[in-house]
Amino acid sequence: MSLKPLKPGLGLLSKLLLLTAAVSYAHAADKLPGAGQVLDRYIKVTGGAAAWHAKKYQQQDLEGRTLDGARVVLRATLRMNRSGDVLSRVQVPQEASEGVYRGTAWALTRFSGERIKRSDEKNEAIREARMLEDGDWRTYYPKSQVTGIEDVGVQRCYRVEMLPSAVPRIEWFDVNTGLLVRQSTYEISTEGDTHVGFTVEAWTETGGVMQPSQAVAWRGDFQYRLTTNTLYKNQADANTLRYPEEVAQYVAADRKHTALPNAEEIIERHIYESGGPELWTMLRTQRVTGTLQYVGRGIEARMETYTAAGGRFYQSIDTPGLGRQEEGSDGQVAWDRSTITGPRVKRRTAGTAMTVTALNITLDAAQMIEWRGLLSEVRTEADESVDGRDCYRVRLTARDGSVAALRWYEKGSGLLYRSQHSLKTDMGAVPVVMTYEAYRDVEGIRWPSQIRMAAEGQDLLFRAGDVRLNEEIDQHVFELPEEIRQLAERKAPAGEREGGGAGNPAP
Amino acid sequence: MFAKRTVAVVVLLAAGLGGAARAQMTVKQQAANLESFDVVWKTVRDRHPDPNLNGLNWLGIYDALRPEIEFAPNMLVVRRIMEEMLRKLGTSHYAIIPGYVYNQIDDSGAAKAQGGGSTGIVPVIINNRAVVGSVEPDSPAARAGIKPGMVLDGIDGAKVAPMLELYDVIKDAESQRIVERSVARKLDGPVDRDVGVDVVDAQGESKHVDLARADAEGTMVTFGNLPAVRLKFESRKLPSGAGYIKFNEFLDPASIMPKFEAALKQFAAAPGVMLDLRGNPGGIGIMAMGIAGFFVEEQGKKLGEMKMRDATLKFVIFPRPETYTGKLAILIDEGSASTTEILAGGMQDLGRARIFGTRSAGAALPSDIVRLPNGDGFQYAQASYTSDKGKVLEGAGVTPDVVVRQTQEALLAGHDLVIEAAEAWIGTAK
Repeated sequence: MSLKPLKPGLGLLSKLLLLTAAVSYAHAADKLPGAGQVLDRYIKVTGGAAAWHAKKYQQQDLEGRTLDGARVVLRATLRMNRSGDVLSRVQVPQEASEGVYRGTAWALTRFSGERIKRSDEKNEAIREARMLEDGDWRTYYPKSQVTGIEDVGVQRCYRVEMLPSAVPRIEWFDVNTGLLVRQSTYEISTEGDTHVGFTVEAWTETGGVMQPSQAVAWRGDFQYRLTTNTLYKNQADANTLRYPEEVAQYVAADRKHTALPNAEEIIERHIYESGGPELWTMLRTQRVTGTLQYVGRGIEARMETYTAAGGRFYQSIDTPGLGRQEEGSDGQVAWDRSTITGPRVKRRTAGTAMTVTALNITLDAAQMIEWRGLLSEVRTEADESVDGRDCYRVRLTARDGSVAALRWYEKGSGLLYRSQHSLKTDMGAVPVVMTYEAYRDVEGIRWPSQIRMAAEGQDLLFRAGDVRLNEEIDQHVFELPEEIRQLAERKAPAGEREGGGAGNPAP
Repeated sequence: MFAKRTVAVVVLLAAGLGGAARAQMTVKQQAANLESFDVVWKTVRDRHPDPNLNGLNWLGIYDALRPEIEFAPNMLVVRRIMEEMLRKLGTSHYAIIPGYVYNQIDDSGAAKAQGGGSTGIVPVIINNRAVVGSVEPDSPAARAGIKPGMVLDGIDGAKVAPMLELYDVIKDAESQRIVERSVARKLDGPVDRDVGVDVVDAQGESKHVDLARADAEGTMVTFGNLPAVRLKFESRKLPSGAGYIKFNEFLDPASIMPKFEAALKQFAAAPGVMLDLRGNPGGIGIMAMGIAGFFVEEQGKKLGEMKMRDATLKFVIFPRPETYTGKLAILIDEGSASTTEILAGGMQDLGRARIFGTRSAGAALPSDIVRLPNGDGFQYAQASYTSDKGKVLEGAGVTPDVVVRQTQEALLAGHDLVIEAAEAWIGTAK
């Protein structure tokens, strides 16, 4: 499943289908039983195959709360039929829906709009749409194996590997009662696989079959308590599981090859094409030197930028006729200094780490990987040509309510080509257009070695010279200059200001 | 900084350099001129702060004037056509700078080789006459007995008066500055090369002196495509105890700002500081914010706002860790423009400075200069500008709190009336 941070419950919903559809044998012998014995016993103790197969339609109302019960983290309704159609509607944590209709797997979120799931993600969605999957385990998991006996809490359980499966999927069944105790698997998404699962806490009988009514579920490190109310019908109701109208239109456009790809897919592709999340995660230090040219004005500055984990940063720009501008942070104090404006200490802004707004010639690995946490909405707006390059235009809206930014991703390479956003400076917000060119390989990461910047009549061109990644940086680089240290130590620092840097003084 | 009037005056003054301009156009030159015209036209279309371009039919102007460029017989006509187009905008800081101006003064090394020598005379224009405004101490002029207030009658045998007749042709404050510069340039030249100067003293007596130019004060500085400028910085304590700081352009912050800071430290106990920005045509805009930061300790203050097409930039004052809190007098005149006006106008609005002298040039728009394909320079405004209290400085200039006009008589008597007025104010109780 995708959209991990934004609708953590949605993927889990699909996993919960399994709670409603399992029956197995009791088998308490020390010798490991066959998987068929365990799984068939489960079907039997929860109502029997005949009772299960009579059900054609299922609706579940789910509510997830934090373990202390204080906060609702999931509220959703899940409907599905035995034809493989499913429609999930989520109200909490945010409005979203997804499903499978006549073989098309889809998702619709406020975050990124509608999209069609493809390849592994599609297969996963279709697999999760199997109502009474465990009842049909011989069809879906014919090679399942019991691989051990383990304790889950106080319960002695058979450990069953459900096979074949694209991702590891383990289920534990109580040796004594035959009931499902725990399931553990992985959620597939465009942003990587996430460990998900649940442990059953309570059961209830509904329409002649036993259903888990309460479980502790987890998704990655996050745990919550899930309660369900289940309704069954003995007739399939396909019409109620049809996708929403906007998705129907998108599916129709997709079939005509006129649909725009979902913005999340475009952004994720950029991350993948520029090196992949793993390399970005491993990015610890950056040292970039180069030149900054004031186009058409005969001015060329030298730039040097260092970044390191812990919010440490230092940048200097030496401009003939202007002198040196510096900006930095030792992870605690952010500051800047120039010949024109003197030394200043920046104020911490609530909810953010450090307000470092220097000309961004290094790439922010955290922002690359955790971009979803910074945004409230992304949309693919258009398929258009920029400087003769075929690009997708994507609109991004920040969570902090700042104005939307636009980005253009090149179709062919998948890499970011241009961005347009509002740069906050002490002097006010300035619209900036940045164009990323001449990507080159640096330690496996695709690096834009040339960045053109246009800001209200100021055209700047940055050309990277030496780019070094993950090399040791002398810690003195990030140390506060003496006058900055003195300023920072003052109770009410002179020169303190609301975040933001002076920007780049324009000639 | 150059403005359109400035350039027009330069063109007229540089008649001796006009020979090349009057030569017939080559095909290559014609193509470069057309390309330059397109650059100018498009830049105005895309970057003029008013997207409506003052209600002009800009496309119509393009259609009308481009053919004229194509068939222009020489560079003088090319420039006249482009200037005519820019003049229709009705704002300053739109100008064509002839390429030969760059050839003449652009490169500091070349300027040093060609000249770099000075007589020590700083001319000013008073009542349409070129007058010795000041004489640098220990300069050739000082040693020859040249005094402030003397009328500059001739330079190297040529009368100065005909140059000043341009005032009747181009009547704006900017022209005065360029005429002053032109007179100054005629006085400057190669080191140890004599220049003949005819002056008229207080008694009306004419006097001719041959002055061997010496190394001038200050250093030649360049900033991008701006022509090289001799940058001078002066600070001293006046007999009254007030501090006095003067610099002639807002350039080279790497040298000016530390000197400024050091001077203020020296004047920390002075009852007041005088910032003499007379004749200062501006320069790098954010230096106004940096300078203001030495005098304003409160956070969040601004000098004014610059409005561009898609953004409004506040000229925020960045208070220094240590600020000077005594009285501040800023001295201006008709030659004070651009960044000078932004600083003086803003500090006046904030009530932090008292302004002395005469009204400034009223040419405050921030501008850029780019080189065109034909070798000329093109200056264009990026924005409109209003002071902190919303006063539009463009055209109106900064009106001093105390209007003081310098006179030739005062100069002859050794008085600088503007400085004296500021000193008198500083000398009063707070």
